[in-house]
Amino acid sequence: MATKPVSIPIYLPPLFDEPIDCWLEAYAARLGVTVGDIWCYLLPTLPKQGVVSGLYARVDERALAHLAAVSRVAPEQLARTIPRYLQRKSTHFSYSASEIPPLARSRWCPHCLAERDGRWRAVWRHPLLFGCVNHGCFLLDLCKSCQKEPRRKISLRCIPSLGHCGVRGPARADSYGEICGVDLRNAHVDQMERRTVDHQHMILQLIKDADAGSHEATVRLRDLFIMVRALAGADIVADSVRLGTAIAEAMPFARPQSDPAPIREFALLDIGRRPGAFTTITSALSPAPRRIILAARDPYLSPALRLRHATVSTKPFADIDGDAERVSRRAARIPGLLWRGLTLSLVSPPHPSVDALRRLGPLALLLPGSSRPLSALCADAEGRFRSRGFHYAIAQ
Amino acid sequence: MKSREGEFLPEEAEFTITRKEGWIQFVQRQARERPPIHSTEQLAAMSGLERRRYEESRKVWHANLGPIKTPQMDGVQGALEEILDAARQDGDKVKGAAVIDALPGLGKTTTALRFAKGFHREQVELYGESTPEGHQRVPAVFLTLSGSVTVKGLNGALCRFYGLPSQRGTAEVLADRARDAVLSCRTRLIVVDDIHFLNLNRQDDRAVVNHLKYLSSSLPVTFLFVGVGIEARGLLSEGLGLTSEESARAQLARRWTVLSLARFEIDTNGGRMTWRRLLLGAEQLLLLNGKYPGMLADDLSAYLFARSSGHFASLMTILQRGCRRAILSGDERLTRELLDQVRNDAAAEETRLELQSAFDQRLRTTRVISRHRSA
Repeated sequence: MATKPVSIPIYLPPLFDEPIDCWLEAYAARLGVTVGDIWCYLLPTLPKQGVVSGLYARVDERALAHLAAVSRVAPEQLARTIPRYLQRKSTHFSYSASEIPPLARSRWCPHCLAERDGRWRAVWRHPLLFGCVNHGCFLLDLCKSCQKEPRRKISLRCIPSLGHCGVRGPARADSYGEICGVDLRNAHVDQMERRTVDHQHMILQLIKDADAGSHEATVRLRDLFIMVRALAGADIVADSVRLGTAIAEAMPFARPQSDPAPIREFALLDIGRRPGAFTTITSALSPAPRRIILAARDPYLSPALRLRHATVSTKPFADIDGDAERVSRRAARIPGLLWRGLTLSLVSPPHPSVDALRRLGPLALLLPGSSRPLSALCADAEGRFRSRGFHYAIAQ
Repeated sequence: MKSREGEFLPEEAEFTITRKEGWIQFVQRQARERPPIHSTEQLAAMSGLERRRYEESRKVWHANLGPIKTPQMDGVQGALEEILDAARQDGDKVKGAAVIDALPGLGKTTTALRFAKGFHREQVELYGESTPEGHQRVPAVFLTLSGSVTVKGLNGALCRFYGLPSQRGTAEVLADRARDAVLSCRTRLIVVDDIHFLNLNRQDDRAVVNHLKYLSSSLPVTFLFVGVGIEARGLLSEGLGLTSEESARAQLARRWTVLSLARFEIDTNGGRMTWRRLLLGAEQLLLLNGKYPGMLADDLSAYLFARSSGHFASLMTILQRGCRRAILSGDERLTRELLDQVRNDAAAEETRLELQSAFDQRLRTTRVISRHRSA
């Protein structure tokens, strides 16, 4: 007779919208064991390296079935702890990814965290979620005490303290770094305006529909994500208040539900690269990018705004209509941060020269209307980056 | 013999009752299905594989003879029910504990297991498999002490029973975890076997006794300790000494109720009657086509008493081994000559000659003397 798998008699089902890593932590806290211990019990077949970032993608059906048998939680309930949007590799940089990557860390609403006894929500890792519609406040990004992003890593060696910052300080020679331990449920939050709450409501509904398998919602979310990042830069995701503002700006361009055609991201890139391509491809575009591109061609629009509109194609180009010198002058006034964000979004994370490109990129992207050669830019970058490498990185 | 879709499955249950999963399998396990008795002709007509499988199932059946209830077990069972019912107090009251203290081979552990199994089943039937909070209901727990038990080891054993991590943590941490499990799973009875391993001359063991006292005070649980010579080892007096004044200070003696299992005796008519009933019951369970009514209860009664010295476990051992020999020999019946070839446990062999000679000289008998004849 085969022996049944050892099950834990203590029943602790995941809460609504609780991600699997947080549920494991809650289990560990309930039993007074470390996360590493509970991991060995519940997920013995999975390696423990890269606990959070890789976990969502690594829990396959076999692991899920084992998890259900050991925890006595229904498999379908456990499956909900790994929503679709978390099953992508977490990164800030995969701008051209066909789906939206989740955040490697998690935002949070202190009020919700308090109501849920310190147990986090999965949706707080969605890059387009910036506010809590229940409490009308912006989500928080950083622990006020240690100025670090919570939940980027989970310590396997500690008995978790739910609702507290688990970020570990720098390790010392004789010990591991100390854990911050601040109660994140007491943090101060900024309230959202009514209009921003409405935007967040719409996005939440889209996230929910997309997770339920709606192709329409998936495409709309991706459109919005592309626009937000194109309009405001990659770094925008680091700050929920700024993200909320950018989304408010991008919202009017959100694709209507009646339009079934998805945005063709690469077509947009082609438009940017090859003048005249617009006329041949524009019919395949959904109204939102078409409207942006048309707006960018509006001769009465200020050059700076035209540049910003044009960034929906991911790169500003010199052949935008108008006085090249004026455009260049105007573009120079646009905050460098915006361009830096765009640069980052063009570069894949493991690129060895990413640091050099971070410095070089803003200069390169201020090229519209400029006659400055690339070699001069390389000189500005102290020779640490060769033009060939730059072309290679941009082409990725 | 159980077979699923033509598959031959081994009959013996592979579990350990010191783990929750094994314990629940033990509790939920239905009585073993008795294989049929085939005549010599039927056995001869069987194919090779069929015959081997039948013999395999007979081996497993004889190795697990029972359940055989004895009056001693019934008596202890009744007393345990009484103790447990009386212990259904609120959490603020210290619950008493029961101790089964008897010589080896008299069925102490079997009695404790049978009682715990019945209690577990009854609680689950009454209240359901899950607690209102959704935790798994585990009304009874079974632990076995090791030879070198410590407080941490005892707490770890409790955690391991529940399937909780137990590799790391201090004794206090493990105790907290175990306490949480006991409370969450609505455990009401903890059976601790081999309590006689505790040696009160050792400091660690004294700490374990104190810890058991603490657990029985802090948990809404009745403990049932099983062991040999518990009183004689001074466990009840907590190793404080033998003076009456010191013994009076021992809390355990006030909280623990000692129950004992007597071995079978043939000095009284009642005892002989009980021995005969036991043999009649055992006789019915044997899967030998050559057996006949009275094979054990009449023809081998005195012989088996001499071989087992009235110890249940020794009797079962000789019957199990004898059946194997009887099947191999082809006689399919137990006889004195056949059983003479069977080696029994060392203790039983030691007293065998003395008893056998008493029976041979008609100084003792296992025959029930009727009232009419005795008058």
